[in-house]
Amino acid sequence: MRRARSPLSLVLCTLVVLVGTGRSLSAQRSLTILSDTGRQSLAVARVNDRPMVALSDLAAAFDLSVREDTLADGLTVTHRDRVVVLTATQGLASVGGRVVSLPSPPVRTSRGWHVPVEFISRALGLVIDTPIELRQRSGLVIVGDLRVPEIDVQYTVGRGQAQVVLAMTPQAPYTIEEGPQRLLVKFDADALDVVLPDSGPDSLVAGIRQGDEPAWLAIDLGSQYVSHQSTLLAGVGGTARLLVDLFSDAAPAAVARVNERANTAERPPPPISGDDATPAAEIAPPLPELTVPITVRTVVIDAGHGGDDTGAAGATGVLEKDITLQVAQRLQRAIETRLGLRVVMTRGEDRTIRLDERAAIANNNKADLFISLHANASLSPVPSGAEVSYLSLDEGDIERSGARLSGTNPQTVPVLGGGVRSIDVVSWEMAQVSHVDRSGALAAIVDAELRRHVDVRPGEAQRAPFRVLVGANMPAVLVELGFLSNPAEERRLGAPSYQEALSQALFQSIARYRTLVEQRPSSAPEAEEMPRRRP
Amino acid sequence: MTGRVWLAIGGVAVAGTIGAWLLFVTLPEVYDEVDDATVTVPRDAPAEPPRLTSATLFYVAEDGERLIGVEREVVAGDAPIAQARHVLEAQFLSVEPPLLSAMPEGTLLRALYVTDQGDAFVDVSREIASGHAGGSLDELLTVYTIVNAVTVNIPTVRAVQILIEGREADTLAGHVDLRRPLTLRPEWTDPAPADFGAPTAP
Ligand SMILES: [Zn+2]
Repeated sequence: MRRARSPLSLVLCTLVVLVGTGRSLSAQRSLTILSDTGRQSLAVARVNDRPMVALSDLAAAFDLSVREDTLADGLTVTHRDRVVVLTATQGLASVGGRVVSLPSPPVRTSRGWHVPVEFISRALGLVIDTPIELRQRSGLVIVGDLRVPEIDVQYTVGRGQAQVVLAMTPQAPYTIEEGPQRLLVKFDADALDVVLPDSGPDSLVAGIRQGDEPAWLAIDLGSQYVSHQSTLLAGVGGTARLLVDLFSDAAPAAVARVNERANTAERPPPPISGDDATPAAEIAPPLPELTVPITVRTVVIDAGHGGDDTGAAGATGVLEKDITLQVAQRLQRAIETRLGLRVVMTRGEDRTIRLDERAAIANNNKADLFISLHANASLSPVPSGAEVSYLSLDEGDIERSGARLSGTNPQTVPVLGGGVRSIDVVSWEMAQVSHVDRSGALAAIVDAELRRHVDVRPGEAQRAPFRVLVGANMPAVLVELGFLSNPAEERRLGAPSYQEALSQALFQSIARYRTLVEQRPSSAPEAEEMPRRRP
Repeated sequence: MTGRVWLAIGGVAVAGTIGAWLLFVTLPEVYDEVDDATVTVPRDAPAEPPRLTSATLFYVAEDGERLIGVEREVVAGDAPIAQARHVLEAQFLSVEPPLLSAMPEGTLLRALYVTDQGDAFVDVSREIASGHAGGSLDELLTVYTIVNAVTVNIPTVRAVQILIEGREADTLAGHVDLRRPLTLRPEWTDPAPADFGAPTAP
């Protein structure tokens, strides 16, 4: 039976969500070096389609001397008595006998020698004997033990109310001060690693920007603003979300009450205005958090492989990239015409597309679901059947993201004789972590629907470390439609009737998942629960 | 020529010498390992036969669905890293039917590093990706052949990251994330090791 929904949650259904997107390093023209002596800019050049920095710039910023060794075809970079040796032919650097891998060798351009930006986090810290963290998304180079929390700002606006969500990693102490025309969120930190939303001004919020001090964030208030209410939600691994609700009149009592209940962590200062006086005994039904989907509006269908990447091939030449696109297009038509949802295809034609780009398309479109389609292959002609997977997290993944979130571990972990693990990369790219529970629920539905419509492999939905799922910031599954290495299945995968059956199974899955989400809007704690899996 | 120029030339020469020394003295610590690692079978009969030990190697079961563990004799190594090298060398050799190897043909072990934290980095040649036929199941079996072989046989190793040609890799064929160390997973392996035929010395 469907649970009756409160009028407030119905109003919230109509809200428009504007979420800021992190720019990738490839789009950045410069990095900002943050140290206890201040900040300075470091130019980034694209060399061989890779972000690189000039060694001469690094030398100036970090007091290094660089010498070229034409005989050995290499470079030495020295700071006091420490030396890094780079070879022009290999993506390796030797730092005091320890070898660090780099995505490419140094490259000489008209502006001199350039090294990949990863050199900064993997090798430079060892040379200057100070931890250096490279924050890929914001382009910050953090030198030394500075407290620089990541603050992801999301902005949602509706009729008469708006919400600013500050997702903090790690949680940082803060105060909120209301001044003329603005709210100042002052964090107790050395600087902020902020991603701002790309939302335009409206009647409640004229803009969100960094404040006058490095650790301040300013919310410029619009003409209709009257009051605000803030709530801190503690997350896993030392993260937290600060919700700042802004109202064009006094704060509705229900919001204040629910916020009070949800607020299990450190209390922020009481709001300066707002109707906060309602007795806490009148408990309203929980308010779904705005950033947790309460329905499914946008579905991203990812037709696996494409272009030069043909994927697996059957004995008679049926290609994975063609099957995935054909089924994706059938599914797209079904969803658009029968469910009325927005469908975004990562590719609508036969073209090459990087794995990162696929998740980025879903993230940039604020998709509520991500479905990646593939066709399988085995060394044996025996295996057959469809199968659905969602992301598995290794114990190490949790440790690593948790380690960084706690802020106690060094940003780069040198490993004996074999390079440096740069932890920021792991965490930033693991957007899927907070969605794994719901991805599992989606996978269970897809598994059941596949069973109703087509042949499936034995066993339940599997968990696997699939690359395309890792960066998706929404529930995501990977569906293997069948085995091209099985001659009978290769034939039927190419047949319109079987493709239609597969498409039906996936269509029904999405319809069922949408119903599930609408009946049981996810609460924030559920969404933030980190699944732990022991190997 | 002025003294300053001579000084500069001298400086470059000294730096060059230091650079060359560092390149040929520091880096070879790793390259030696590479050379060692690519020698899979002694060509000449050794004066003393190598000490052997039993190890579990992983192959694709006849039905193609999963890996199975097979007991084999491999050369014994003194340290974990040496033992891991011998296990992987044996694992990379071709195998007789009915067993199938999930390693694409021509894949060589280039180097191997083991960290204090129990992460192993297995650096393999490009054939592991260029020779891969694709399909996520096959890719999982290839990746976990290496992960299983190292973690099952070397107890100090907890997780394995595969490097290709000395560099971090994204995936082999578009599916399995290779950017982080992977731990042993039972899903794609038949837990009961089976012995196919008499043990053979490598
Ligand atoms: Zn695929």
